[in-house]
Amino acid sequence: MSHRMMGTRDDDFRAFYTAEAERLHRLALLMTRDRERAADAAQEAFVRTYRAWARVSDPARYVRTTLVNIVRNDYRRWLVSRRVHAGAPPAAARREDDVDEALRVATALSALPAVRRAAVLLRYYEDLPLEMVARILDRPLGTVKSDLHRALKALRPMLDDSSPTVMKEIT
Amino acid sequence: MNDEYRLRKFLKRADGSPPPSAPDWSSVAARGRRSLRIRRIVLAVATLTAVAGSALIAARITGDVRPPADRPGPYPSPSPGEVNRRCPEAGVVSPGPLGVVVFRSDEDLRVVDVAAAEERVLARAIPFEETTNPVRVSPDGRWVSFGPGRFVPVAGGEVCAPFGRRLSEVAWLPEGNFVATTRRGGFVRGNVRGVVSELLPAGWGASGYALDPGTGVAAVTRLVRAGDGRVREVGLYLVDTATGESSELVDIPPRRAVEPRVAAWAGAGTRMLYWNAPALAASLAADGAPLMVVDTTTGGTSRVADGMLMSDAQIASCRDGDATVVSVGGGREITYGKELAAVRPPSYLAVPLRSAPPGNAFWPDCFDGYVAATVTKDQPERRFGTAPRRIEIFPLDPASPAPPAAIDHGDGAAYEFARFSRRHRGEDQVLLYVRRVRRPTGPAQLWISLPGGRRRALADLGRVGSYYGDYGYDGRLFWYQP
Repeated sequence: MSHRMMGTRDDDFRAFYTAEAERLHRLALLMTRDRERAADAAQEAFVRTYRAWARVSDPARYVRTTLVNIVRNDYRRWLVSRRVHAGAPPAAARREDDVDEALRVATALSALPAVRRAAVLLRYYEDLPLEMVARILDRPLGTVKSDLHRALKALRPMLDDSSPTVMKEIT
Repeated sequence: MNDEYRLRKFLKRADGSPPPSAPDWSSVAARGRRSLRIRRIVLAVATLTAVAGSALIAARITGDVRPPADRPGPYPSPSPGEVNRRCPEAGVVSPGPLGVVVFRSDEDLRVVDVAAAEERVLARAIPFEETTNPVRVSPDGRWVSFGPGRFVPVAGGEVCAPFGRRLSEVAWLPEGNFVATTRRGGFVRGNVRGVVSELLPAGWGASGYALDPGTGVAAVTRLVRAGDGRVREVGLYLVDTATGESSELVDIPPRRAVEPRVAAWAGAGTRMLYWNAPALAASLAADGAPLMVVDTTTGGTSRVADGMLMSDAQIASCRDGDATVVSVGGGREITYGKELAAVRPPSYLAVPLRSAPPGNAFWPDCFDGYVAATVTKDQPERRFGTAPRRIEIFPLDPASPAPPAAIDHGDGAAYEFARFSRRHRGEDQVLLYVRRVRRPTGPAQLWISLPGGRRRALADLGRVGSYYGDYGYDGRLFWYQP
């Protein structure tokens, strides 16, 4: 397989990056609950997309798939290291900059398992169709539907602003 | 205000926050370029090291495949009268990064480690009647199933037949050493210890099945005939091999005289492809049958293609689970008059692939949803298996900038049976293929194409095919990748 001319690749990638960077960084933040790790994961996803640019026909889908995989692998590595070192979770539980709204939302979602959290964000934050979510997560459509159903059930108490649970979760 | 609306509203709160600082695009592009350069350097160094370090590999690059050295451990396959029902312990196997290929070569069953090009004999002197069912490796890589219910450890050991002398084709279940198969008109699951549990009772009419390896759910076809040969019960069922729960998926009135034959799973387990075959025909429909699709959640069916030969070698599901590539077209010759079409959601109609090579295209494989491969030939043959054949690799999307490529050494041989590595992506594309002397029952070799245009012979397959042109590679060899 050959590649596009470097100039064309850069021009195309620049337009793509400009359109997607802010959105993807925010998605990464919602997944990781940590600004530094979110920036790293988003940048790595873009780098891999650049590397595969010549054969990618849907870069928006590709970069999201890559981001989800990076965050999941990161989480798995943390789980393994936790067994060995009993270290801190990947996201700082509370930091000075945790006051902004995105981190509050991310904290509320942190009760969900990583894959379920990704499914919720892709479906209800990114507004992607169910089939696309299934493809990005590499899971059967029925499993994704079931993930979303269970996630909604788990999040239901938090969605009511007057509920004491939400105050406990996000403040 | 429903939950979905409230959740969307809740998540949109995040839009008010500043995102993590995004670097300038050019620094990301610079990292991408550096990463590409490093990858190419690493590949070049690895190639040089491999070439310089191994005389065996060097010999294989020139196409000279030495016969494997005899090692202790290959046992003859037992004759039907002396089947050993008790299986030995299967040791752990640690294949190289490219996995192993288990294959039949003349009367032997052999295994070759793809990366190290090391070959061993697993079983000798397999009688012809034991070559009917395909060679398959268990998901944990410890067992090979072949023939009528024969098993042998990949690490080496005695051939055994825990289910007795006769068994239909088996499919390995996701959970290790369990298999599912049809037996005496029922559908069973069992393991190499010979423990069998009945999922559908004997005499139920199970005539074929296809297992979704991801979920362990099987689509099982049913055909029950009355004493006078007329069809009494016919349908397509779903069976969960873990729980034994079954449900009818497609009900076909017996008066229609068609029976479903399973083709392949599609759409990440949400759809099942099957053929509507004539139930009263004495043999398979020679010119093909309509290919149908059924939604496994609703049971809704629709027609995918009007006519297609009933051969699962003409169907390839893409790894992304999005598209399925099928070789369709009229005529009973497997390798002539066929064209490639893509079957995609939501319509699941076979749409001709504009990006596919024109002419005769058959035995496709799909890489990652972006790239596919197919065997092609230019002309019909007076004698089967005598026309030049090549493997063409092309993007599924005609708008893709990736140019087509071909595998043809230019030596007048036939190139066929393309299988992409399931563990590699994009620029690291790895492809297994067969090089065959162009005559019926000609000798063939197994080759591997590696990144950077490198390729090398892996093993001798012995004489393949017949005067009727059926090569059956899919039953002859199996590429296991951990």
